[in-house]
Amino acid sequence: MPKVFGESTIKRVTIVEDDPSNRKSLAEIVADAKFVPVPEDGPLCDLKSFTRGAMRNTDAFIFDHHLKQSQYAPFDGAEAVASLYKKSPSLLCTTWGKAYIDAIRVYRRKIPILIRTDDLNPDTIAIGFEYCIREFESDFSPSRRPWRTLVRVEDVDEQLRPPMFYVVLPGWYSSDKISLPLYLIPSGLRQNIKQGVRFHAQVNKGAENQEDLYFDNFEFD
Amino acid sequence: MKPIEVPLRFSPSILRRLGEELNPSPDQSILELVKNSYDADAVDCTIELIKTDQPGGTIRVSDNGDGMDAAAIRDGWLVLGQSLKPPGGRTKLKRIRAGSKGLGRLAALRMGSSATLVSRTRTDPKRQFRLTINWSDYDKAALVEDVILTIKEEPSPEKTRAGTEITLEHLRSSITRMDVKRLARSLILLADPFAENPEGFKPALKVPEFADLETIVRNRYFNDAEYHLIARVDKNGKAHATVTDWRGEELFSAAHEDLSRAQQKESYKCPPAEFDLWVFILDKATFSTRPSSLQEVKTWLQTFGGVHLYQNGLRANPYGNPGNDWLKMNLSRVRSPEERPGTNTSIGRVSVLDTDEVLLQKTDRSGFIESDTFLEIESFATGALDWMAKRRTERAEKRRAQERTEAPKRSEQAKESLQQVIEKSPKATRESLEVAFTKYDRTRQQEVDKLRREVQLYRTLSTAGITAATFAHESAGNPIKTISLSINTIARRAKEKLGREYEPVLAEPVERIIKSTNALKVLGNVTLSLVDHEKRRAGRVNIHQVINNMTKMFEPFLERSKVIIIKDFAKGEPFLRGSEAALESIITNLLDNSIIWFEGIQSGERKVAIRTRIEDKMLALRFMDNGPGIVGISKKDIWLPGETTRPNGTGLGLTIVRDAVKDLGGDVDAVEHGELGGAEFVLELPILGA
Repeated sequence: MPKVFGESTIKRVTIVEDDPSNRKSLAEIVADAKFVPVPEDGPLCDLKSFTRGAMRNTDAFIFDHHLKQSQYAPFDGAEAVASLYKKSPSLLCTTWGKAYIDAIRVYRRKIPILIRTDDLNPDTIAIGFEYCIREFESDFSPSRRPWRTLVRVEDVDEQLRPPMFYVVLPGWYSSDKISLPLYLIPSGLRQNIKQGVRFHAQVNKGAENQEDLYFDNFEFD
Repeated sequence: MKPIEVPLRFSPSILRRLGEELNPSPDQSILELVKNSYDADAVDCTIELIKTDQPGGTIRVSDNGDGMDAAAIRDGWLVLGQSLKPPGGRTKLKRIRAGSKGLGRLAALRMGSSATLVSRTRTDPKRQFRLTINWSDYDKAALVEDVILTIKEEPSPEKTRAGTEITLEHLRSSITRMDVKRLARSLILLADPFAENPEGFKPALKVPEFADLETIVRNRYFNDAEYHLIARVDKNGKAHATVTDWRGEELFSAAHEDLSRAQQKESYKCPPAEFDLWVFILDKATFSTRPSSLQEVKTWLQTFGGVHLYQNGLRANPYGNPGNDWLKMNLSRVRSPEERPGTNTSIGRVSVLDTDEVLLQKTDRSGFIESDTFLEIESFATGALDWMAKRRTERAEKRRAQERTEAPKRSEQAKESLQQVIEKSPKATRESLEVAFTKYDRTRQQEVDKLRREVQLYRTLSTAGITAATFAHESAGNPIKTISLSINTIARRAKEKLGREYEPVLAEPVERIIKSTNALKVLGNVTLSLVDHEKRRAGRVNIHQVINNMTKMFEPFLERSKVIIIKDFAKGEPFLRGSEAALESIITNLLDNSIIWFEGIQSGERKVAIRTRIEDKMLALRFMDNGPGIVGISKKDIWLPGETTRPNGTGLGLTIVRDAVKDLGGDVDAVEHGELGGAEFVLELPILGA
């Protein structure tokens, strides 16, 4: 039975997950949510060709983030979900890990739903798709709405791999230092990141957790 | 009505605004005059400061450059906001012009109550042109153009050459020793201070009040450098580099591929550039055989050290100024003090041949705009520094490896020669010497063996740590994830199919699997969290927060071992400067230690208490349990690596605690049977605040 969300209908859900056992497990949850699971067995070609092909055959996607290790796909889940923003509702699931959070943050603006593996069940999948569709129509959930926000650079450590910088959002939880990879900033603007510098960015200040914050449209004076 | 034609006119106050208010400092203003001399192809330029240590003094800048006639003075020198000569192109001596807009010159000329210019051209040095500006005339006038200046032509004094002389009299303020020092520094660094070109620009400073500063300008110590790095990037963006030792012999060399940081080994997208760096080893042993004194060189490097940046032969501020470490050499040195030069242990320059003037100064002259070209030059220079550091580390490693191989040989030789001496000693003492020596030799051998075992232990444990982290990472992504997803599906589907039957038949075993899977996840997270690279950074560490995080992370183990944690924290949030990893190591090892020793306590409550108190600028942290206490080992031996009373124990936990506490600048002691009856560890950590 297809599910109807406003003007969108979701019937077939493509599952992109490199581990065969996990792929089966996800397919079972998708089936329990009354969608038709379409597991992608891989190996997948480049991102553009894959999404173009898959979109003809599917209404929505569930991506695991970590796809490169077993030569399953030449891209990460986060990159794929971001590329499908406003095209096809897509959920990104991952086991929490600091390194992943940094890597995902670059695309976070265009990842409406990042879901922990533990939280995946038929209900969360259906709700997740609904949130995606609403965000595509600029109906943001409070934790995803972008605000022009002042950001203060507390520290920069270029010796770390990857180089990191640390910021505070006076308009968020002002005592929390947020660590961000330097590559989050477009290369032409990176030289502006220095201790004490303040800049503006689009940030979803309504997010409860650091992991869910995104940063976009950087403005330096 | 006929339209009225009017020019834009200026009040004399504009001169003050453009002059005094744009003037960064006296030395920078004087430098502008020196730059004019440079542009006029002068070889010599003398800067005299006469009685300038108090207001009313005189500054004279004289050169042997091209000079100006009346037309050049009227149409160039007196036109503010216009370069004396068109930008681009070169002078007869192939110098690329500084191209100052004349505002710096105005700032300089206004330093005194009057400025006098005398100039003689190369074509007719027998005639000279004189112009005096009395600034008080402007104070009386309503508009700038109301004051008419006069250029007088007169015969030159005998034997004078072409050139220009500017005299500023009755200075409004004094010039301090700091100003002169900066001027001295800027003078030698204005033109290339490193080359010996006979046509090169040679500014000389005459300031009788501070004669020692004149000497600083003249003295150089390049030959005392231990290493000389020479790196070049050619017009195609390809780089190469060599490092020579103080005798000039090549130690290492590198091609473009070895230097560029990027994976793709692309060409540098910048004009041709040269990077020279002289690296000094500032210790007494190195300087014991050198003609210069260590102190002299230290002072010189304090004044001139760092990497200076030159664009077309002229130095660009503020690169290499005190406090400016644009290549972040000092930061790298902190991390690797042995093989990295800092701004106080090296002097160098990056010279960019920027004929197209791609590098643009910021409008406030505080450096170049950080364009892609500038960043490429920076990347080329840091790439060369990184490469040199790696080669020097490699060399140091080789030296250490060689020392390791040679040490036993040398030790054996020393032993043999000592035995020979003993054999030759008088019979009466020989026997007791032999006994004493054998005893000594055995003890030493035991010590060597112990150290060897310790090194092996560290290596084994590091390998175990790396492997544990890899396993934790892998298991979280695959098997644990599969179990977690599948058990949820089993529970969901079973509930649907079995209805009421589910609860008595499956609920309990399913819950057991979920709980065990969660415990497995925690194990993985603890391991991964400990190796998080950011935790090894030095920074502000909130002590209570780290203790709370660690005890939270240990919860599943503590629960399984039935250990209760009692926290009794001081008010506030004490913090110290150090790495989170160091404090985590302390708490983790103390917790591990307690959990292990509780195995011996099979009845009653198992308790661990963590108490913090703030006393002055110290935090007293007491970590105590009600375990068996410190038994079977002397209290002072518990800190020694490899000392353990537990079978298969590593004996490293408390050694790490001791070392980590020391790293944080604190102290640690132990009590065999403390307040709770078991072991108690008393830590004192210096804090920055609470």
